Amino acid sequence: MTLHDVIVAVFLFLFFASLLAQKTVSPEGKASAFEIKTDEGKTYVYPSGFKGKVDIKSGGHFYTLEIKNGKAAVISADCPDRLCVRTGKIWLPGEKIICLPGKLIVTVKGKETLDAVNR
Amino acid sequence: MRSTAKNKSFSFSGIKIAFLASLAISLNAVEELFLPAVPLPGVSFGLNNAIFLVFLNSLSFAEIAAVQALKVFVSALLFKGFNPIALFLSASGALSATAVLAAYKKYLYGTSFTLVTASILMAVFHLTAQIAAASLLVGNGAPFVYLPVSGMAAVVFGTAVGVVAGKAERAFNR
Repeated sequence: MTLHDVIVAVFLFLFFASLLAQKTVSPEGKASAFEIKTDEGKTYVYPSGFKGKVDIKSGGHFYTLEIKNGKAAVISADCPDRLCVRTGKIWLPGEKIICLPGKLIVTVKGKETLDAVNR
Repeated sequence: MRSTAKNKSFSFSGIKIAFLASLAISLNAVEELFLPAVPLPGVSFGLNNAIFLVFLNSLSFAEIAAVQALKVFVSALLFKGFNPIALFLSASGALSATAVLAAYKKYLYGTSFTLVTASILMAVFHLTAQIAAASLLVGNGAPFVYLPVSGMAAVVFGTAVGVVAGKAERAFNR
């Protein structure tokens, strides 16, 4: 491993780290809701305070989403790779769980700080 | 006589392609065992990239492409039940990794950018292409939300595979 390799590795790592930092530090406020979009074009919104399990059908696949303590996770899926289940819990505004075979997208929606000030 | 020579050369190339593809598929099988432990969408260890890196000196672009194609189709059949989405994602990643490897071989091979750089670039391009392909399937840029964390993991895994491949290449050429 030469100095040039180290430069490439460090540069790319820092590039991705800066993308992550930008996403994490950006002031999107607190999580206010979980938005679920299905392949059929339906959109469901659950407040972050909701507690329970939601069964969803999207693109011919069945998923179960659990919302608890302000966090959401796909706990079961009948698709072959189950990447969405492996993604685990999401709770920060902007975070997503994407289930590709069924094209299901779960997004954490942020509560804008400005809204809180206005209220 | 000429046709016999041609056939011999083709069959040698065919055996080489089949041999390397079987090695790559075997490494894919090993990877499939451990991947469920990694909770990062789109991330793979890229163990099979080591095959291309170790034998890069003796592989033409066509041979790399042939090995990649065989690996993608057989792996999709064996490990993903020939799922068309998995096949599309896998093919787009392999295509991108092949293109970047060909560019590396043409412009950087033999310079101070060693196989570690090639491995990192393959891992990063493979991931980015898969995320782009996933975005195409979903119809929006949502999958790019995974790029930062998965990209950092790709750099780490790419470095590790590149270091091991570099050592293996030196051992083979000794």
